Amino acid sequence: MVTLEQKRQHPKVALTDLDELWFQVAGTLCNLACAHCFISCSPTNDTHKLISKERMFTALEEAKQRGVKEYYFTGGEPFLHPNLLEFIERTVEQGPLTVLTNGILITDRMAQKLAELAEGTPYSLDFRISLDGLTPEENDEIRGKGTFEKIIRSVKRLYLHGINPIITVTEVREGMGAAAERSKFIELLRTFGIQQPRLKFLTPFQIGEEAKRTSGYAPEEFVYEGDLVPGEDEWLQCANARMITEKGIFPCPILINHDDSKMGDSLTESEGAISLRWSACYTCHVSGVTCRN
Amino acid sequence: MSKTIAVFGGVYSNYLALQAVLEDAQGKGAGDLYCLGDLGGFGPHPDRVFPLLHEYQVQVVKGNYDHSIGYDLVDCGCGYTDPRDNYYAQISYDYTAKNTSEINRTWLRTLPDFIRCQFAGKEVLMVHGSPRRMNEFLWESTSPDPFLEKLLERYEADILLCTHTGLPWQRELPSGKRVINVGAIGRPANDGDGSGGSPVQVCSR
Repeated sequence: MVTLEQKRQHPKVALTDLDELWFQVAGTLCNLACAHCFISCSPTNDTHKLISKERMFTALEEAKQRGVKEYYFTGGEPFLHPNLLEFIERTVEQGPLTVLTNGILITDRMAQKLAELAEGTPYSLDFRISLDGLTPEENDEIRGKGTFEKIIRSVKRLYLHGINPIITVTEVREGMGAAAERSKFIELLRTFGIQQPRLKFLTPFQIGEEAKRTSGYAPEEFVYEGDLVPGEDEWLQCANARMITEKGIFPCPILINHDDSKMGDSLTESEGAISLRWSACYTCHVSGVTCRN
Repeated sequence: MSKTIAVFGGVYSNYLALQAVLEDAQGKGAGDLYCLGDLGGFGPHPDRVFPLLHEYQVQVVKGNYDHSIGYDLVDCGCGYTDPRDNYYAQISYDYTAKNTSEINRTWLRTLPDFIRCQFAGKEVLMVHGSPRRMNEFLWESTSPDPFLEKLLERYEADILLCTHTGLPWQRELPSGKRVINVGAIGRPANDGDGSGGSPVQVCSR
């Protein structure tokens, strides 16, 4: 029986295993300023700075000791970081890596280098490229003028070098995640010669720029004690992931602009349970979304 | 005295493949026979698998498919992340559920989640997916050494045998411990060139 008093509390989620480690490689710096960005990244946003080599390599060493299963780089735009290739090289030596990017800065020369890195590692090196519509009109409304063509060019370029990127679509319009819409994305990718298109759909979080684009979260949209279904505290992303930015360790990639969610400066300090007390937690609870591949 | 065991996974209702594998293993002198689960799915005659397993006294670990069929769950619990995979998996699952007899379902419920044994002085742990989750995928390219070392230490094993992904691979870890994904015999790995792959993993001392 859940009392009214308990109802106002938020459930806690323990870290069962640190399987996924995220790096906010480019901080909040981005070459684009997308209308749905939940952390409002832009060419001028330095809320989180580019990650330093020291933080990166210290965390990688800690992660190795703790048996982390997979790594993710995100931003902002990771390809804005001058040391990105070195970071990729060091990371894939110890585990599989996925880099989340808008793809636009991947030149032909860079694609060639990435292909060489992917070829030279026993672990997988994947790239997730964001695309938010089937046409320039749909996508550019969210990601900026001219971005559709630039993104497609990069997708083709990577594919030509033997890398099949995972196209990541944020469901910014009603029904985008439905089967019929997914099929259209698959068909679009096939027209570029991609035989086995790889897709991931993400639910938007109603914070940052997205809160301005839509209405944001309603006041009652929080997760309360008693709301979680059996097993949920094990499959929510915060049960097996942590995010590292230049500022410190956060529970997940979504909460980094909530300063009060910072857990410490080392992975050891981030072992504790987290309380699902932010409105963004409501989206993970309701939609079951996860940032992992 | 030397001893040989044979371990395989993923029958997927392919009783013909199972028959061939069991004969092959016996021919190679395997004493104990182990199957790491996922008996049903995809093939047309789920019930033809069970008599063979009993006849050859195969020790079977419960796979996610066996758990779901045994307990009459709504889906196979395969853990796919792509809706297209789930769509086709559901057709196969519903068929298998409809065509598996009650007596075989009852037997599926009795299967263990893991089997431990000693082999050549090593602690061997046999599971379907991973020691911590029945439907965890241990792919070769996404299972880094430090992660596997952690699992083997936590579950006190020198050799871990698993399946679930259906793609066979093996690796010796820096500690000298070993992880072997034995693959699947009913839908063996193939890269499209028609050559298939070795359907059975025979370990010999």
